[in-house]
Amino acid sequence: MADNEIPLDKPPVVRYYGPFHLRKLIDAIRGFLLGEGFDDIQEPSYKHKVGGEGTDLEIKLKTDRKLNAYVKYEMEIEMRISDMKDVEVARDGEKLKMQHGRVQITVNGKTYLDFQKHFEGNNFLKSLRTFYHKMILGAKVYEYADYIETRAMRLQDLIKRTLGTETHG
Amino acid sequence: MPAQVSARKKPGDEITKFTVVYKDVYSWSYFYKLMHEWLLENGYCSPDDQDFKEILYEHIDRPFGAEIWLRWRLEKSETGPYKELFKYFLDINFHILGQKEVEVVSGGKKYKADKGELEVEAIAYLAQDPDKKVENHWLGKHFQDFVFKVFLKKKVKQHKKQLAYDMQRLNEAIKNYLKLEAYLPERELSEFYQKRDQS
Repeated sequence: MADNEIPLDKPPVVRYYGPFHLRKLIDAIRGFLLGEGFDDIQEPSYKHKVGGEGTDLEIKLKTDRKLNAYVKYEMEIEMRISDMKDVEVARDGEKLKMQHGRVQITVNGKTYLDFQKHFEGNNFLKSLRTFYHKMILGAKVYEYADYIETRAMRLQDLIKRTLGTETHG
Repeated sequence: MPAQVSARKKPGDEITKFTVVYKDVYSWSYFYKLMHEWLLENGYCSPDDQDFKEILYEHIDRPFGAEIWLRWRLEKSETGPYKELFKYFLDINFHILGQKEVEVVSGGKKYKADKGELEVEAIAYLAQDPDKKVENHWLGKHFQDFVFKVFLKKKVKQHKKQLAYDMQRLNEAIKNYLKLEAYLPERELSEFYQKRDQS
């Protein structure tokens, strides 16, 4: 790992087995990312395989946000849903069309310092960058990294709420 | 994998890529036409079939079903100011595993369809100065970086956004046909083309 990349210590994971609303789940994640200023959301991979036990779905989302000319955040969300089936669930006297299956969602994030690679030219510039991070930015580097960690935790909480798990908050 | 065909020099900066994998029932011929029509509509190919750059179509019959490889290498010239300085390149690779003909019943009628694992990979590139007009210019060659990084910075950004948006729409069109959960709030080609269970 390069010294200008700070990954999350422990990417939050949500595991859930039961009924859920796939469209609402995707919309919730999308809404959260847009609300946090991650406007360019990409979907590098989408796998949908129908098998005997139901559908296996794997969706990867990737997005980034530039804080300023030096700091950039990247978020990756990986959704794996297995044995997914369409079901009808009765809630509050209403019949809802939902899905049922095993959901695993991993939220990963990374902070990039010097993302425009102005200090990548040679070893002298790289040492200058290390000096800048350690001596001038100092604790500010951890503040930058803290931002993405907080957002990842908030997204995890939102996913839990959308899935209707019992522990969130 | 037919490596001799897939390996080639990148025509520009890679802007975005995506992969869609789908394993179920679909109509391969309809999907092929839909992709072609979308690309034609959006200016990535000409209506003349002879100009369509399908550089590979490989069909191998295997015991578990047909294996098909396809490679499309497409490009789009931009219109508007500085149009000679930018070009979009789009590589689309298809790989189908275990494709078999099946009969499905929809709305009380029997239809012929295909069943297999379909993988579509699309990679978009933005080429700056594709014809080397700036590079070969007596004065321009000294200011190449200045031209694209300062003078045309906004234009470069705009083209990157446009290409990324095109790719997102293509992704939506594929998912819309395959009836997969899509991401954009508005659906691409939602009314005009049929879905997999209608084609």
